[in-house]
Amino acid sequence: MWMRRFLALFRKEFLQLRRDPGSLRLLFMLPVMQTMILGYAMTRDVKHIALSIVDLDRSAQSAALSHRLQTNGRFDFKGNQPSLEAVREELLAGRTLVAVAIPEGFAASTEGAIREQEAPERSTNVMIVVDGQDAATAGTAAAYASAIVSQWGTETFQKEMVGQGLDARSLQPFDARERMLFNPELEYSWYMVPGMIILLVTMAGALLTAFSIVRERETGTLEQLLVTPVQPLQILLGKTLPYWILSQLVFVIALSLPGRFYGVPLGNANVPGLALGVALYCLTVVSLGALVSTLVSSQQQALFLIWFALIFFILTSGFMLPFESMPGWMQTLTEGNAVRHFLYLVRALVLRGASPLALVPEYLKLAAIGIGFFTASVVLFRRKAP
Amino acid sequence: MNLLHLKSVARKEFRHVLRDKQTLFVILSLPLIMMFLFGYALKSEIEDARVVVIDPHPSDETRSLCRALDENRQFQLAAVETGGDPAKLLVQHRARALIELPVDYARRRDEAPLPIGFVYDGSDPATATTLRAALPAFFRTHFVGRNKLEATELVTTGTRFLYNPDQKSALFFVPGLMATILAMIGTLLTSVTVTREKELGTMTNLRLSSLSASEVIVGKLAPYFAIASAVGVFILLIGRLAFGVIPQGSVGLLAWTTALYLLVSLGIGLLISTIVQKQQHAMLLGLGITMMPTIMLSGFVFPRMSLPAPLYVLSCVVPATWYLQIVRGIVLKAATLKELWLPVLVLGGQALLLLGLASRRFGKEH
Repeated sequence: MWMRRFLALFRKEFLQLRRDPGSLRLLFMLPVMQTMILGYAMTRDVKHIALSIVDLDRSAQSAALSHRLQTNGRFDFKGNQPSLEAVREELLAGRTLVAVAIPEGFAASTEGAIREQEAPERSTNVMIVVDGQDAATAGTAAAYASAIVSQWGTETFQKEMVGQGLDARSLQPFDARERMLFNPELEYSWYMVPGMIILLVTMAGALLTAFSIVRERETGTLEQLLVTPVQPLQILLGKTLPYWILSQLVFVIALSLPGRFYGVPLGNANVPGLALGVALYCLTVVSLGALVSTLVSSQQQALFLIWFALIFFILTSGFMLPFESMPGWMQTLTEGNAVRHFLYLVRALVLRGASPLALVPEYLKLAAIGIGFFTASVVLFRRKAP
Repeated sequence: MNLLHLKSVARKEFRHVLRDKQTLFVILSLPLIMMFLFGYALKSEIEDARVVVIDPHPSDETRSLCRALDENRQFQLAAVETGGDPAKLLVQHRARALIELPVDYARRRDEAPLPIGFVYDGSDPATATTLRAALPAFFRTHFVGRNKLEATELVTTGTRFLYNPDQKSALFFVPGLMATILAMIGTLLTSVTVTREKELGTMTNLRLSSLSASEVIVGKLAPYFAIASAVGVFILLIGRLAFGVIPQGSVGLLAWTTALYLLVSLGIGLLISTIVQKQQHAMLLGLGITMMPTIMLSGFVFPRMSLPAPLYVLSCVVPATWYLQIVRGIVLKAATLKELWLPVLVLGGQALLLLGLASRRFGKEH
């Protein structure tokens, strides 16, 4: 009897969904299309850095350094400036991001130091001025410029130093052998696309669940349901289960279409491990929708609350910024953030080819959070129901 | 346009907003929470990145190296192993990087440079890029100290960060937050309020009353304009009180350019409401058109200069792109109209175009 009633509700929800092709289209199209288009935008890689150079030395050495900077692929050279004041104007107007100033006497002091067979009293200082508005971009751009300058210095002067019998070992005290695993070309899309899909699936899944409940409350049909012999738990299960299945389906489609489009190495992933993770996570998604539906009285409020919750979850999940950099209390706080665990799980399975056994803590936490959210929504729904 | 009519429509709309406690809560607490997160909890620099060391022949030398690594603020020693597959160890210890020391690390001192392997987890490119620079730098400092070499770097660099000398991300995100939240209020709230009246059928009542189309539009939009302005002031106030973000430039210029941006957002909202008939579709369309591009393409989170050409062109259509240049320019750089004429002009053009188009369509429906 219990099962029959539940199945009737379950079928009704599916029928209703089928009659509303607009919502279904949105549910499926939104994650796929947006990820396809915006996947390219999600890069913290810094390219096309607008560069200005002030060469106050005008020597062969400074010209060589200037040339090296201009021909580097990272920078877009915007021209030489006659003075530091002129550069400030450019920076203020936003026409340049990085300015490199080569001081007067640059060549003379470096060569003098080599001739004297000793380190210069003060090493020759090339000044890098950066528009620091965007701290992360500015830091990266400055690091690129700085690395090019030091590398050029090492290459140019090391030979001469050794020739002059100077100790050049501090320039290269060890022989670094570098390897980049899992994503050798450092493709940002590999890292960002799974995160983006999680964001959009959560948004669509939670919203549609919440909408389907709130709409029935708005039109009064929820009251009619509640006076029938069905229990609140059956109603909630009948409401959430269809969306639970759909969200998983959307996730799979969204991951395989744009994922393949961006060349994400999906073949590495352990399929049963991923499926279990998706199933557990989607439980949290639909429960979030159900939970929100008990707190609001209109669809607009549901949208705003879900959006609000999602922004909070995403920002503290390690989606864009490294997780370890958060203070300890914040890391403890985010143990309750399902997006964090699921994101870690998906990235580990897909990008690092991890075995599900190494991710048991993530599965357990996801299950606990999902069950917690669902229980909370049942309790609140019951309280609000009569 | 009758002022009395206008006032009664605006008052009714205002009451709608004030009665909706949940939405008000979200509108007011979202800036607070986001600013708190960006100010205190979220940083883009690396801290405590987990590093595994493969040390086939442990000695006092290598132990002191590991201790130094662990004590460094940027790194955290995840484990010391005597051998193994780097890929497996990275996954197992949840580490970002792995260092392979040579067997004869302790013995060799003065001869040719020691070979040291650096293995990075490239699955997070941003962190990998930073570590790729930071780990060898740590080793260089460590070796120079160990071998008592004189630091003889001939060409050094000094870096100065203008406009944000302490590299605080709050300074960057507060303006971005203004753009996002104002767009949300302007576009989402207006499109939803108009479509809701359509759904409930009260729009027909308004139509049948003696109100003209322009009175309905202005009366409906004015409260949202006022609320969004208040939220803008609120964001700037928190920025000032909690993070010391003080606008360097003219506050007057900031105020009227913000008003211009709000007009653009309201125009988009109104336009959406003339296209769709249902609240739900208005919301999803509003989210798709404004939220995602504002966050992804405007330069709020991801640097615009790295965008591929087609998306770069697309980002020029996003109003927030131009508004961000204005806000950041005024707040951080003390820029004036002389530097900002282009973004201001673009926003002005967008406001005219969108509001004109939306009112025409709205008038026809009316």
